[in-house]
Amino acid sequence: MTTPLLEVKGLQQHFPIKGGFLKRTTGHVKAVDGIDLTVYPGETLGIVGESGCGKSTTGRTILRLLEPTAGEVWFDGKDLAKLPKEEMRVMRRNLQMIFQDPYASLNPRMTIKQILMESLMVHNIGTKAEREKVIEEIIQVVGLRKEHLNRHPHDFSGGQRQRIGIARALVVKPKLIIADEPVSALDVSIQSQVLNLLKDLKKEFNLTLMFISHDLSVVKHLCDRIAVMYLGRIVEIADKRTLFENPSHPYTRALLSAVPVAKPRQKRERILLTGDLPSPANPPSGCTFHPRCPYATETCKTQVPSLSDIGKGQLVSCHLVQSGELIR
Amino acid sequence: MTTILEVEQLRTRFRTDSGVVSVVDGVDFFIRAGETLGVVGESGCGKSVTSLSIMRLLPPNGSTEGSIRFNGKNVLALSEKEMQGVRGNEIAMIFQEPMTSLNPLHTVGKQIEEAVMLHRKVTKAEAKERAIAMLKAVGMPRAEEIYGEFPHQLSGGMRQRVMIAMAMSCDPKLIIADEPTTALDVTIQAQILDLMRDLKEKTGTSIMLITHDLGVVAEMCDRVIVMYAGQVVEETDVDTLFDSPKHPYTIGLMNSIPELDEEREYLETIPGAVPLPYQMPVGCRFAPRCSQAIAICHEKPPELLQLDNQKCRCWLYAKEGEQA
Repeated sequence: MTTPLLEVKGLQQHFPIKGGFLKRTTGHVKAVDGIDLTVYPGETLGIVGESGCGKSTTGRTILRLLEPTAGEVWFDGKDLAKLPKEEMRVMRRNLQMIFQDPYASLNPRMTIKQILMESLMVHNIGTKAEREKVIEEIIQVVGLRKEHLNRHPHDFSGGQRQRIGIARALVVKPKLIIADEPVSALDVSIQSQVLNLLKDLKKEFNLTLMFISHDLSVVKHLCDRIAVMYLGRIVEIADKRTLFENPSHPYTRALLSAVPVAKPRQKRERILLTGDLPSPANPPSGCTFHPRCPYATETCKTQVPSLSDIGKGQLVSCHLVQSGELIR
Repeated sequence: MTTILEVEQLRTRFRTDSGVVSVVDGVDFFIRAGETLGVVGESGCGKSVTSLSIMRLLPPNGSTEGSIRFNGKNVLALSEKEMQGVRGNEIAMIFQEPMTSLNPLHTVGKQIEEAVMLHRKVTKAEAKERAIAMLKAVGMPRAEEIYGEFPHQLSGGMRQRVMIAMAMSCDPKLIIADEPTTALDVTIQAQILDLMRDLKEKTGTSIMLITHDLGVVAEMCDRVIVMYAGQVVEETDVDTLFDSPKHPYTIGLMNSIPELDEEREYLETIPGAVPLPYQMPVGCRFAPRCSQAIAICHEKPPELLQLDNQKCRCWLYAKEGEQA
């Protein structure tokens, strides 16, 4: 077994809810509530879940764009959660992020060259001549041309901007890239261009990628292992094939069956969940999925399930699956 | 089956600072009573503008030519007052983002009532009864309580149910749903699509479903038109569309989406991007991005041709037609 590149243990991110005259803290939104996960070098780990499940917060907390409430983030032999700010800043050379909105994540006043140059300068990489060379290379790697370097973000389409965002993350040669919904804002024909680019880059640079998305088919296309999140926790994590062929957690099953398939003749059985996602400020007791779960028992209402291995590295957080009551 | 909506040679233009741009350019289609027509295309293809043209809800700088016949009436010739009798009554609309289409200052009950009172001669009490009945019909729990709640108290899925309740409140003959589930999560989307299918079966209303999601089309629609750069490029029933798509754009679109039950190393892509409305290619509008383009494609715009099972706007099939 290879050593993990990133190991997250018990990560929590609670946001205080302030209210009243003195703005006292009246409660917490438990956006991320105790997450354990491991990312191995060279793999792509997908994180899926619906809005509000804490998938983006997880990504941001790992990079310390948000200060974690509790937990450990082991990367390269260091606990990022406890690293002093200055060391963390240096460390970010190894951990880069690609954002969802290619319109909001590029400074409109800077040229593409300045945007890419900034990354290199912040981390003191190379001499001026070397930087220029690196930038000229990277812009071609992501499928744009050298002439594009002197233009501003508004000269580019959404797909091209996302390529620039990818180039900015790649230019410092990071060990891990966290991509937060990088193709969600793009039209399907453009989305496929960017997905293919990411797939190429994975091979070419042996990238380790954490890919956060709500779109199951996109995650399936790109990722090696997939973690499913619900209300701030991971409910199931498995390699891609196992997860799609043998989804075990009732939520994973419902999620997979809810995706519309582009085959009109195919009639599938759909598990319709009732109700909405509960508020993470006041999550249900026991298993947080129990109010919407068609199989929930008394145990599920009171006891919090833990994520445990049910074979072949498939981890599931469900009492019924673990006890064998729910046939897989 | 009778035809409820017939659109012919619809052209919608906008006056802008960079001149007059044609966003919808010669669109023809029809919707039969009780059927769901899917309108598919990417951003900027003119699918939303087409629906706004039908509802006559274009901003002041927009103008429409052509013919839109709804239930025997020429929509474009109606006076604004007559149009108000059609809007929300005979044709209702469901928008993508329910938060921005509901008034945050009024309770949801009042907003549904408003639609009912505007189009029906009913008392306030009857309108309230109708509003609560509609909330129940769209599967709202605690309908009486929700009647008195404000939009911000509801989740996205619940808000979309309110929008559907409002749209259905006057028994419209046609509902135009513009990306009704795009802003929702998949499990909530499944609930809403299920609800729309159910209501359609019960009431027999026609639906024009605008979406970019081919999965939603496959599950919901009877017939489909595919739009590209302001024109219809393909029109057919849903089975034919997925079994044997003809237009290179439709084929490219289908191959560029990753499927849950398929494993592919690379997705097919459509190179380039949609042309801007004021920089339309002279020939076929898709030609610059088309891998199969031939000389004529760059010179002359193709017509929407009638093939065996579908209509298709492409020179590749014109040749076939000539030989036959």
